[in-house]
Amino acid sequence: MGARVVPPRTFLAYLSGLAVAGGAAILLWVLLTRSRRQALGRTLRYTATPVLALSLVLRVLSFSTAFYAAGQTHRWQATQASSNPMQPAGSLVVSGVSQMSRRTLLREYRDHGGAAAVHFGLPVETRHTLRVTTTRVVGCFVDAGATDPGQVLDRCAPARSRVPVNGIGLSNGHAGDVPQVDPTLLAHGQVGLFDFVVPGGQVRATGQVRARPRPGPVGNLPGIVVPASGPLARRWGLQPSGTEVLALLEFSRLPAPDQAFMRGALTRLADGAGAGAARPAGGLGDRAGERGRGRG
Amino acid sequence: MIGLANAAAVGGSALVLLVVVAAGQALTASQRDLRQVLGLLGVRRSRRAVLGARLYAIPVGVQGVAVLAALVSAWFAGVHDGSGFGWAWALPALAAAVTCVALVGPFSAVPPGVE
Repeated sequence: MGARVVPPRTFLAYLSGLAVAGGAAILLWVLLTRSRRQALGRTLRYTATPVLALSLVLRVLSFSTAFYAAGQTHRWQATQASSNPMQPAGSLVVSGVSQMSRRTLLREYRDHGGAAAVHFGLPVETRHTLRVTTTRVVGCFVDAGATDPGQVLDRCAPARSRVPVNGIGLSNGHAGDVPQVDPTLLAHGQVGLFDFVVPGGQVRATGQVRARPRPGPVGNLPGIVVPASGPLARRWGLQPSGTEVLALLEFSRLPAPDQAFMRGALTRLADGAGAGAARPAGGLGDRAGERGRGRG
Repeated sequence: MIGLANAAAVGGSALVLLVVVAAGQALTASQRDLRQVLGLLGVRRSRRAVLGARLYAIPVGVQGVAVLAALVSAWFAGVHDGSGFGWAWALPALAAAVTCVALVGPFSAVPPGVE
């Protein structure tokens, strides 16, 4: 895994905030050590000089801690908000978890009373990303001469699909197995494909493939699951990345202490992975997830 | 992700607390002469406490500004979708404020043997 690059906006926001807090330290020092009584003013300035140094050091500590905590919480809440409508009801979806961590999480989930779960391999997406959609969306995209599928989704996306352009998963199934897809994307036994360039996100190629509906939950789970050793994976250059997406489908049915245990296990085993818990079916938003709408 | 944020907030606050306690003790010890002189001059305890409070108001104020600036900075760096920021960001300032208030007492006390 490469080094994580801090976006310039985050870096500038950090530096600006730190500078403001530094300025506040000096301003407070000047204001609080002023006195009309000369003796008191001198005493205060003399005594407060090391306090100013302490304040400047503490400013870095407090600012950095608060910035990180607020930023992480904000990102987590934003991810939850954007993914909840698409995640299978009552599930906990973990994306980008290693195979070993997935095995351990799955074992602990079952030890704590959970049963239904699905997991899919994720392909390497450093050069290009393959996404599945309907053949109609691909047709609209080509006919309109569009540069971004988002330009045609309003017109052509299937109304019943929560994720009209969805990600891809790899299975260990037989090479000859027909790819399994989100049934809401399937039309006349076929689905459409977009191949995006990374970085940039321009569409490099489009295609169609024969597929069959995948039983079980869909939503923000991979929209198409292909055998890692199959012809489709070879044709589109899909290589296993070693990470997986894991959906614990009965997570909300676990007692609260077991849910807390699983969240703890998740932090311990896969803190870098994205995770999102959905509300149980019938709740305010009955779906959730991490990978989100569109290109995932 | 959220666990990491809370752990960082608690860890950072503990570090802030340690630094404030250590620096506060050092300040109290290093200003022994001043505290002694104030005691000999008969300055009332309430006046001495005001002096200590003015000194410690600097780090308390700076911590408050620092965490609020951190919140605003996190908002600038954020996604602007209405998502919240939690409350863990306030912990370091809270830890510093509580510790500083506790340190005003020892600072305003006259060293033994003077009063």
